[in-house]
Amino acid sequence: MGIAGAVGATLLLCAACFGSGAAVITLLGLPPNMHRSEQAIASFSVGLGAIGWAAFFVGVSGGASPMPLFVLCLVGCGGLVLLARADAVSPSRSRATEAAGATTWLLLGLIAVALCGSLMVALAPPADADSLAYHFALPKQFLAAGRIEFVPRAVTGTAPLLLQMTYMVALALGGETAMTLWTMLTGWMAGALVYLVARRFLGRDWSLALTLLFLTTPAVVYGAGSGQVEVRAAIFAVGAALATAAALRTNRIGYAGLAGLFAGFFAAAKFTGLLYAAICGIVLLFRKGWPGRALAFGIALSIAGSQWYVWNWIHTGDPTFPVLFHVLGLPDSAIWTQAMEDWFRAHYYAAESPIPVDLFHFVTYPFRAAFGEPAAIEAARTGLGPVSVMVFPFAIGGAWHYRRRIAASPLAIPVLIAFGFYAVWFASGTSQRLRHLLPIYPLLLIALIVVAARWSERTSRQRPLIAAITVAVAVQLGGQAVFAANYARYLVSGESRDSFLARNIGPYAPVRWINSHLTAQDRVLYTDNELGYLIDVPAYYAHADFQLLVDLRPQANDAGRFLGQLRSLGITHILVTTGIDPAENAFRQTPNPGSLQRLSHDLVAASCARIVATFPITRIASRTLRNLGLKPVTSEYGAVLALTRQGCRL
Amino acid sequence: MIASAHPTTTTTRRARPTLTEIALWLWVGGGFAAYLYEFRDVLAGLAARLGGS
Repeated sequence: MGIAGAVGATLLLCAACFGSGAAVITLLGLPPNMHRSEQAIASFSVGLGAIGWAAFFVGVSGGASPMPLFVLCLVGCGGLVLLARADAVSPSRSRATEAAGATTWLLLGLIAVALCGSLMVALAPPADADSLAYHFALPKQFLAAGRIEFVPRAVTGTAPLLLQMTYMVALALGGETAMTLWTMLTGWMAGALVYLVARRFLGRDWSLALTLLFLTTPAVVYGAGSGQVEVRAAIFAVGAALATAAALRTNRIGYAGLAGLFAGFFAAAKFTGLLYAAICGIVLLFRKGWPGRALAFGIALSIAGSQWYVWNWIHTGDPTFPVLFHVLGLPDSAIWTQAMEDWFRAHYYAAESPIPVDLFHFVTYPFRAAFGEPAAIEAARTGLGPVSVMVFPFAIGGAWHYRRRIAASPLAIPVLIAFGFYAVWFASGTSQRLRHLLPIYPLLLIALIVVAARWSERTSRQRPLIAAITVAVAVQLGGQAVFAANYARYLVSGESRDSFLARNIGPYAPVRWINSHLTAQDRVLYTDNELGYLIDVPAYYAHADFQLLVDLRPQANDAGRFLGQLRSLGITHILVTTGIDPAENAFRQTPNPGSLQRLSHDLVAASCARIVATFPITRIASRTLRNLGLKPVTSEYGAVLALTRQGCRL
Repeated sequence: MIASAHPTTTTTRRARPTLTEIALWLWVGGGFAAYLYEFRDVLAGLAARLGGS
């Protein structure tokens, strides 16, 4: 499908979000007391969740194909009538009288530069490993199957997939470019939401500066341009916090229902959304009239957020598979056992949570993260940038100066929810990667800048604050330019999709062979996660820590059992991406071979498999920094093996 | 408007920065330097790339 089709599909999906969101808000009986632009972004935010929610049921019912998903979008678009008819309050006095000056145009120009950067990323093929592993791979898999299938794989298979459902719609209607344009557009919408929320507290230029800071945040640049869900989950997190605050302020049941919907969408997009929903629910109990609010919140939360948990529960007995496996005392099964659970906890959690969970580290985590420490939390190049550090003393000064007024601020409840989420998230012992905090980042950023800007209204303090923000913007825009250069090269040089992928995906060479030599009757086993989206024939991803159907833990050494597992899954070929000697067309001796390499070698030795093709494999530590010559690219050889029955001695 | 025959001769003097303001400027400068140091490898690579092209 061409670029016109991709743009058309993206706009249709966008319109469906606006329309369905407007319909839901109308159903909740909310007179949104908002400026028209605020009504529009609120509608889009709700609609993003609503389309993702509805697409699940369409997909589970066997409608994961273009026509049913097209009809879904058309139905969603019906609500546009409500948006067009909606009453809107007039812009506030400050908005009406604020003239655009040179600073305004400068900021708008810089925002346009940032948006161009993300457009370049969107117009190139996807290259982010996690996106290729499952954010984009699962929608592609579901569309190929015509329905949503259960994926018996922890972390990347049983995660809630509300946002990936919207990727599925985009992919079905407009192909790959529609999907990447859609992720770009939803990232932009998060920026629009940040601007409109900030605008309630700040003048135009401060709001634009804040939006620029958000859009160029490294985690946003990286996440919005890929299939990572956190930037889009931020839309739900901000919506839930604002609706919770509005429910407490007005005691309107409709706002509590809206908070429940947003919290539910967040929970259906990410496991940590459950923690956020719990915090919002607790905050709603703060003032009298709580039973009605709690009921509305609970009903909306259950409707909007439960589908993926029920889906997991039906297939595994654990709604949050495998988090509650031990707590629920589930028996061993083909997909998970107590031994696997022990291995998973010892291996995966230890790697994901390098910081001790105690009060000292709770307090120091943001400061360490600001300077990218430790490396395992991925806070350096895909972190939150220098803003928080640069603006910190201004925010502290403002917080102290306005300490008696802070509790009454409209931002108090949303910020309380954000801090509550941080505390519960940190205490939960889950993955400590910094980007998991991205959903609450807009709330904290807005609060930070609002307090700092108000305190710095005196010119003598405003200058250093402007300098601090200028430095942060310069650092972040520079980072975005380095990141986007790889994609700009693709667009400017006229490089083919195939060449781009070969340059950016280390084990891409075998994918070409697999897609051209294997058929729908074959099934290939692979262990490099980024190949999930790229392999066009049936495939199985065998992660050593996340699944058990093909046991590749280090202690797995029974080639006969390995072969039995492969045959039960219908595997016909194995992709091994290390340890091959191309001259001998055989495995070479290596000091510590991995499980797949070792077991595959044993299959070849027992005449149960043979090497049918060998390939050069590159290992790219960083796609971005590779271009600067900073990260080495190492080379080795891999192979595709075909299983054989004739002469097999196992 | 007619100019005064005896214009005032007072000169505008900038107010001395307070300790808070000096501290804020030091923080901003120090923070910037810290980030330059943190990403010195990226900056060096970028400079080499730009210089070489």
